[in-house]
Amino acid sequence: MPDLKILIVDDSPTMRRILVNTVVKAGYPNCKEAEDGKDALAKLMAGDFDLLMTDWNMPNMNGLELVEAVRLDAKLKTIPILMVTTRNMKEDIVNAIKSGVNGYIVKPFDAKTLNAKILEIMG
Amino acid sequence: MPNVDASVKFKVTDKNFKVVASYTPYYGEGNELTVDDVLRQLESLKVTHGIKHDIIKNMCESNRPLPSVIIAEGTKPQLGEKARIETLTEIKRESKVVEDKDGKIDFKNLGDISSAVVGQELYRKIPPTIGATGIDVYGNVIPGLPGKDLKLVTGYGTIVDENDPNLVRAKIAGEIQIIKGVLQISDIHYVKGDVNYESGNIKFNGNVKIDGAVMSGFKIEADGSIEIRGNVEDADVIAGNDVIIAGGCAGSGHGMIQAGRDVYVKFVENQTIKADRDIFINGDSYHANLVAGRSISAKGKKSVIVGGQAEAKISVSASQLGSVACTPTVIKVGIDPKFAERLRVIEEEIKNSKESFEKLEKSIVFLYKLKIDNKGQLPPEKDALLIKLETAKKTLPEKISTFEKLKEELLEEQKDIEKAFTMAHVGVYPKVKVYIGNQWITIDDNLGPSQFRIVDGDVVRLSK
Repeated sequence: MPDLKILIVDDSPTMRRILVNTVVKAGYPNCKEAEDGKDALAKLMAGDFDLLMTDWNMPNMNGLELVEAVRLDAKLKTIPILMVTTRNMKEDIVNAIKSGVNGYIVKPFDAKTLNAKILEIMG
Repeated sequence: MPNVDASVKFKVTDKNFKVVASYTPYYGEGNELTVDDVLRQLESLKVTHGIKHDIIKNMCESNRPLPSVIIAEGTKPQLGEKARIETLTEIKRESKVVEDKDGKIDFKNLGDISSAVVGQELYRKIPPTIGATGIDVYGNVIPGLPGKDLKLVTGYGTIVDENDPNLVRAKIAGEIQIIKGVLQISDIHYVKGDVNYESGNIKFNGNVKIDGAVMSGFKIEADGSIEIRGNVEDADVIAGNDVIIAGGCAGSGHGMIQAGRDVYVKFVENQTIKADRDIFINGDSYHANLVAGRSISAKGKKSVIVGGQAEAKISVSASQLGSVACTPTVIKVGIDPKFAERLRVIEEEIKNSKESFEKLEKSIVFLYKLKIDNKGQLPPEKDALLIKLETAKKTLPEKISTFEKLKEELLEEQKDIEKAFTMAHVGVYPKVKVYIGNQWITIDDNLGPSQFRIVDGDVVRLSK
């Protein structure tokens, strides 16, 4: 699935760069970046993305709020979402799943793990 | 002499347009004739029109015989206007000398040759008209007479309009000429003599034939072919089809010959020749810049290409390439001379489309952010703008993909350089540089008959 169009959301430019490099290394060169939840939501509305990868803790609109906004939007509600975060407590994972993410991956991770997760989510 | 009554006799003449009276006055105690008597007699003859009462009165008062008095005259029918030809286009080349901003007169540009395009209205016959009606002395209305007609003549290259029998149009494109009084369209413009200050520059929608030479600084442009019997100096000769020069083409490098198809020339010296297809030189090329879409060939047992550059997509051939004087000479084959320009245009289109896509996307994202901030609502004008931008954005990926495909095809076409070759039938001299595609070889020795082709990615000299 090298044509997969992925939107990567993280408020830290350094972290975004690392994520983009890992995603490209995993075999998905077609990816774009957003700096927070609001930016991501606007870009999702403007473009036709196949997968959303989002951080949890962000200003303006955090990851969970973004997931909820996406799931409530008629046009975007079916997009697969992968939550990428350092929060690894079980209750966090449960909350994320409840809000509507399709997968959860804890930083740091390598390209191989990411690819396996993407394949799992995308079926 | 006995008394005699006055009397009158009438004669209707001139096809009933005149009543001529013959009057005899009374004599002695005879009765005179009154105007009423005359009018009654005319009435009995049914003459009603054109009666000259004054003349009748004078006649009746006359005391001498009047043998021939016109007492009634009808109105004759009139002759209409004769047919004529009205021209609908400018026919003669007029000298339109133009001054530049400094007041200098450009004597080379003497105005365009009057030329016609297919279907252009040339002239029209204005048919004869019918003259005014007449009335004879009996009051009969006589129809007016038609003016003189003329036959509509059509010359070569002209045709009568199928819906208007009086209109003549151009059947072919070409120069408008009057030959023996008849307008014709010639697809060949002849220049009897040289192209110089007398003829001025030539620009013509058709073929051009020049009996003489083309002097420095002049320009000839034609949609068709250009045939020149003499030499061409530092002049521009630009043809949509072929350029055929019976003489040579020599100057100081300021002229250019350009053809949409082929160029035929006897020899070239220090000039630029560009042909979309082939360049045929019936002799030598010295220090020329030759560019051909297909091939360049210098014919003849002693033909040479020395100095300058000869660039063609398929082949360059001559008896001799370079000279014993080791003149630097560049021969390039395997690359379409227009390749770089075509590639540049395509790449620019791709770049511009991608930039437009990025800009549109940024604007769309901005509007969506605004919408999110306003709880999913946008002012109507912004909403309309969003729809407009999204529609525009949708068309771009297809456009980009089309141009990328074109670029791939163009690059693929360029890979086909195995067919390209350079041929020297007699020999090649040092300082000749032979390019095939991006690979090249410089000749260091005097070589005999040679053929250069690309083999395994390198330029290789093969024995002829």
